[in-house]
Amino acid sequence: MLFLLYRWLYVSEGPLEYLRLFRYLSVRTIGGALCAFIIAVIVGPRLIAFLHRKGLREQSRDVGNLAVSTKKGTPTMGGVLILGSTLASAVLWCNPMSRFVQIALGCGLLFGGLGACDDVLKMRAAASEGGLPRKFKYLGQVACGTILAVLMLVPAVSPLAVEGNPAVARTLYVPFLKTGLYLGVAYLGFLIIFMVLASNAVNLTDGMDGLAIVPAIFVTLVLGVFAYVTGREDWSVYLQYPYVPGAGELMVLCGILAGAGAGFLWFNAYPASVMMGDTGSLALGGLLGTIAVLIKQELLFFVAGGLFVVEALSTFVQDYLGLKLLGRRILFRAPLHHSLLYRGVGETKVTIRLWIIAAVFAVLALATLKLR
Amino acid sequence: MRLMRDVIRRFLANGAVARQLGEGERLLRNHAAVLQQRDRVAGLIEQCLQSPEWEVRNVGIKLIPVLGEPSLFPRLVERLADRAEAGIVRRNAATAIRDTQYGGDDVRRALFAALHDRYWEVRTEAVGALPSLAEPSAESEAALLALLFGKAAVDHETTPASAFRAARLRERNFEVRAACAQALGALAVSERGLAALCRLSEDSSWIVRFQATIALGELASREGRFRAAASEQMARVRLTPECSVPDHPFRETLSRLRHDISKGNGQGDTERVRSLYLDLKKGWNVVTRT
Repeated sequence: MLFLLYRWLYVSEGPLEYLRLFRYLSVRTIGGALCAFIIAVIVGPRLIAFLHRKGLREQSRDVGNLAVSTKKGTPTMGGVLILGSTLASAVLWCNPMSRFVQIALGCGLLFGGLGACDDVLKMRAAASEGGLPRKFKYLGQVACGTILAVLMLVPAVSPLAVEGNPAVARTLYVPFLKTGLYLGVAYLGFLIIFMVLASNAVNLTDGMDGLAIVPAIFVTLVLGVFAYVTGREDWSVYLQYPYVPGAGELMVLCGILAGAGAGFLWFNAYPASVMMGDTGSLALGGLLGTIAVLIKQELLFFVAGGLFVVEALSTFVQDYLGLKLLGRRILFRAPLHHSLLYRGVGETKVTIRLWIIAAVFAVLALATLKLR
Repeated sequence: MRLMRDVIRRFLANGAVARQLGEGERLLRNHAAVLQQRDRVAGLIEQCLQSPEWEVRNVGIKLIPVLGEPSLFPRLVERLADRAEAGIVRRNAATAIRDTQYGGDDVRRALFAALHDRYWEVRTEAVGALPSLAEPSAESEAALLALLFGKAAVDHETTPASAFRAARLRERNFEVRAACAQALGALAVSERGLAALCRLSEDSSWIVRFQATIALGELASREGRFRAAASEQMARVRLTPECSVPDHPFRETLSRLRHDISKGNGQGDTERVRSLYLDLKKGWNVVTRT
């Protein structure tokens, strides 16, 4: 909105001269982040009270003799706070005409909606197993991924239909390598699988207070830096990244998302007053995955979000390889954070240690800017 | 190839497996139903144990202690001793042996053998079953020490007991070490057992240290001659805050309040409820545990 105000009302002299500030990505990123944070902090207490009143509270989960019963009764679906403050701040600070912003927010809302269905069903069944059946959840994620794939690959609607480099939308750029990998039609399948993995990885990490949101903020910041680089012709040429005109606008959205995440952490810090639920974790995974796709850094998402990958892998190894095929546990418990809890490490300590690991992954991802 | 074959077989047998699993799990949730239809459940257990799917055999094993039919107990020992059996099934067989209190020489032999199983959960459960099936003796103590420090260290008769205090632990799994500490508390009889417990009370895992400290207390209360040494070791135990769990005063007080109101007989209720007010001068986090 502020960007449009600048466009419509800016004159180089007079009191409206200062509107030119809203032209700069850096100003809008900082302004958007602060705005999202303030909105989340102001709205948070009211939303938490509302969620509690409506009975949208966490159900106790059986994760193998681990004492997580103390989480029972904490309001959930706090993802609404993240999505709401992101949306409100994006309307103010982003360029609403940008296809990048529209697609990213649209996908975030779709994945968030899927998570909200799951959360509401769990509350109605009063059991953590009473949510959407796993196959419906996957089906929903595949449908969201397919919508994104269509938006990315159909030249008429794709924001990636770059003049002079039409293959950019179907090319996979690998971290640490200078040349991309042209996938052609196979990119469609890759994109759908990528979106399912990205959203589930964040979903699996969300199991302890503050555990998912901080690594998500780190990933957001890394993607913000890459969005800026990809959106600038001079920097992208210098660093040998594909130039995607307009992708810089996603930096503003990343800043907003980081601000909203910090606002949510205000209430989600241990001991949490609210949990993000599947509404938040699926929305975050979907939104971050979409941003990674839009700036052509799909694989970088797995480096920056290495913690999400480790958590998802630990679940896969335990559930499918160990229990289903070998008939034994390979890890004490899964995902990784439950295994650490089981070994007797306190919840806050586990969370902070995993934040440190997430920060290391984020730094490693930033290093790929130059190490190629 | 074997993996592929397993996947295909499981896919084809999915419906039948789901049915058997469903019925077994329903019975596991409803113990009264198991006892009402003893013959049918015994037949079902036999069927489950014949299944090629480990999940189904697992349900069969879990149903045996619920049914409590002695003629089925030897099947537990069979499963535990079968090294080709899935780890979870062997683990649950050891648990079931403990729950059924099924004793005898062959059971003890199977449990001692299971102490050296490759799967840690089987070792943990086998160790956990020992105190209820074996008497405190040099044999049981030696079996536990062999698990902790390796057979060579225990077989060497000239090894002084004090050597176990600083010996390197061969058992890498904290859960097994914690179970060993508890079992030694019940079964140790000599200086060697005491030394092993002292070693465990300095373990890197606080869970093992915790169990070992309690076990030292149990040993000292059982064998008076170890009282001074156990007490001295307890003073050295490392306490760290890595396991500290905060209180939730509101939740705990609320549960007491609801209990007092629903179960109270009227007399003194008001006093009890009044005693729940926070005394802010003492600090809000001072809560009497229920």
